[in-house]
Amino acid sequence: MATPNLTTSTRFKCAHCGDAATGSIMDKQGNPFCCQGCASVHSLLHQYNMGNFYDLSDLKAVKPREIESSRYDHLDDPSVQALFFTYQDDKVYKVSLKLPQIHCAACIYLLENLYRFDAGVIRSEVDFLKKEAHLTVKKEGLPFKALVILLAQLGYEPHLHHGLDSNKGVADEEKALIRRLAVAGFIFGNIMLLSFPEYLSPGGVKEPLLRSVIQTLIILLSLPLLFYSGRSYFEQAWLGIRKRDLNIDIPIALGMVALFGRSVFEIVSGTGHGYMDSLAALIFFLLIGRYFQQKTYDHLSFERDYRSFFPLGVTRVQANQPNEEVAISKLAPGDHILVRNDEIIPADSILNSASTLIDYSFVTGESALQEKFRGDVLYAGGKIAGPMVELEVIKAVAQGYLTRLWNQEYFSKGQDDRFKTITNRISQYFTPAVLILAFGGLFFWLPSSPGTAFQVFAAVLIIACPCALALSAPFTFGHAIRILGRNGLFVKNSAVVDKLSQLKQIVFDKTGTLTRRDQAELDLSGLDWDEKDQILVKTACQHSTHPLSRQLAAELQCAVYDKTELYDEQQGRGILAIVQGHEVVIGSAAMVGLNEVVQNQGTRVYIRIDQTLLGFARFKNHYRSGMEESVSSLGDNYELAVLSGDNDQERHYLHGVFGQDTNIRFNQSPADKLEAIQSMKQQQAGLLMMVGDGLNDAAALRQADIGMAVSEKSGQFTPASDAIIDAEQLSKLHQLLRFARQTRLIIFSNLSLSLIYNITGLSFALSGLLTPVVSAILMPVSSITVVLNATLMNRYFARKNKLR
Amino acid sequence: MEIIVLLICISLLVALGFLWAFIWSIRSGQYDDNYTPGIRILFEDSNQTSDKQPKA
Repeated sequence: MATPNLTTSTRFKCAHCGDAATGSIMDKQGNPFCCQGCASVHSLLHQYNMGNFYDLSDLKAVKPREIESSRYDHLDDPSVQALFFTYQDDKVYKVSLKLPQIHCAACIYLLENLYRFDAGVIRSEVDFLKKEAHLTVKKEGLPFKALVILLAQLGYEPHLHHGLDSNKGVADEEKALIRRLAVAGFIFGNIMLLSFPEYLSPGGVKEPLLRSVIQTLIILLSLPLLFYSGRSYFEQAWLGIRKRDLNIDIPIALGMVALFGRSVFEIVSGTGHGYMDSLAALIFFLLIGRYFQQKTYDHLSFERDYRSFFPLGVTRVQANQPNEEVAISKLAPGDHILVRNDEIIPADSILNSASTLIDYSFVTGESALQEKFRGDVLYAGGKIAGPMVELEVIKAVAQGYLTRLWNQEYFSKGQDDRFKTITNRISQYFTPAVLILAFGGLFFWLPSSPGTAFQVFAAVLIIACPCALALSAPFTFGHAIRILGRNGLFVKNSAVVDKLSQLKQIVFDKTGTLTRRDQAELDLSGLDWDEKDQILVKTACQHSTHPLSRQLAAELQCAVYDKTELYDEQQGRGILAIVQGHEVVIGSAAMVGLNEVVQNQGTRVYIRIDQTLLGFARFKNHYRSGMEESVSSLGDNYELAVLSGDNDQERHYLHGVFGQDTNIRFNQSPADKLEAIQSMKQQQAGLLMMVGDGLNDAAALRQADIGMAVSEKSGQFTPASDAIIDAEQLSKLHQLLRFARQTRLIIFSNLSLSLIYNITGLSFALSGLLTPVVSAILMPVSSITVVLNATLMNRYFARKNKLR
Repeated sequence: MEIIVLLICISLLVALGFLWAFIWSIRSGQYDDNYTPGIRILFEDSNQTSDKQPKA
């Protein structure tokens, strides 16, 4: 977010990106620009006859970044290229690039006309929702590196990281499901048509040839239905039996077998028409439910590993040779690398430059910048804030502290036996009940009439087949996923909604979750000064590149002196300047001559002018608006806790918001957070959710029953999690969770509905009166009621909670 | 009555053809992106090169 800069006039609007422009940069036609980058893209667009861009653009075009082409040198490495190319031969390559800057129709226009900028581009196609561009490029004309530079020049710097295809597996699964659904729908329709004569007159078609053709076709059609479309239900049921878990798929599979077996028997023996139409309807509805409950968000990924956060390549310094860009996976201990301002340190290393400031907030949650000196060990994941530094790598990337934490075994969330979906919990009672009834019916009728006994046995299994029950959860949660998604909470799958509805404990991270990451508030109340002092301070600060002095200068809304007589910035200590004959000292306590060491008071910057100590400016966290209300209303229903990587300067405030007896811990390392979550889980106090962002929470997010990652803007990269919440919507968390809780009511009302149908049907079955027509009516009617009920109740609860 | 048997078989074949066409359209990625093409068609002079992409 741009801080308002008062010195720039807002009379001009940049003709490219729409930002405020000073008017000092203009082209020959008199169009104003905010920066040289925008001006050059503008002229480039006109040069290549792409003026249309501005007709489509919302005047929010992407601001191009300054590019150092050497940054991309590693892209010439074939092994790096292979990570991105989807296809290549001697002449062309195809590549899919993630361009998070894509945001409007003009972006599509520009990127799809890329061939006008360079003849090497054969074809370019944008996938707007995924924010991806699929490019086919001539190898000779435009090598990969040049392509990336071209895009970056236009303002679309590709996000070059590993793991681009993390959604691919999900997409493939969805396609397979659609195929099964299509086949089931086709067979359902045809069997219905072929069975139609049966519905009109009992006995159906009397003509022998036609009758045998119809019946043969029905049996033939039902084979792919059972063995292709319905296969997964048998697999799940078998899995359940092997794990001694009476899941919902067992009665479904039994019902399918009973329907199929009895139908084949009736048709072959000539005693009846069979129930294939019911079987087809059953499988078709079940698959629709399964399709409906999954909703994928193209622009989000729930499965990111640490590599997505690191740069792909880094500059390696070589003795007697020019520097080269290498892929970070090739870094070895002993290598010397250069890391620039705002870049992430890729591997644990030792600082070789005199000193630097490091922003570890992403790794530790600690918001204050850390000062490091020559010889200090820097951990991977920190961001350099300041001039370029040289580092000596001490551990390969895969061996680093963070990477190892990430790769610990329990990260494979496979052993998630703690949670059973609501449907499977119900089926623990349902399945045995059905089996007892079926066998009870069988043994009751067996002595008197064996024929009826087997009919009743099959009929019970058929009618008890919990179609409505199995549809209830997918439709309820499917709707809930969509409603939550519209309100900025994106969940991975329906099981997450199920878990959310039973949530008992919530653990918050502080930095970036409760507070905003992008702005720290500057507290000037510790200063006793007049405007003259402020002018002196601002004059001194404006020379500095240190982020704290820059923010201080931006905060002071006063004039400045033109001249500074003397300026000396002492790395890691502060600034000493002489302005208008006054000695201005800004910096640490030691810099202004104080001996006191104040612990845990946030980041203080002391100011001394001549011999008078004016006091200090304090940088403190900025809490999200609406957070307090949300937290206090969450406190009514959930047990809350806070795990912060930051120091405890805000303990008092947080206890005020969360309540005095809330568990609030400070100075938590990523490993501490992980342990805290583990021990909380062991207390068996119910399902636990961790809300956090950044790499420091990554381990805790995965360990919690639900990991909810906070995303400042869509397209930002979040660690692997079960749900992603838009930071703006965090203040609505209590509403969203209340809605999730109410989905249980919907499930239970559906459950009672489907039980009523089952009992009605069972009374038919046990008395031996179940006919194909009764079955063919009962099955769809019960399913449709359940679906309707789920839809209507979801809408009602969404509206009640003021959700969109 | 034989004619009905014949018709049933033919209609089934036609329906199978459509089923195949649907599955083919999924496989060939026609449903992968159902948003961007709607924007693309509105561009004034969208003269994309007509080169077919090489088969991957």
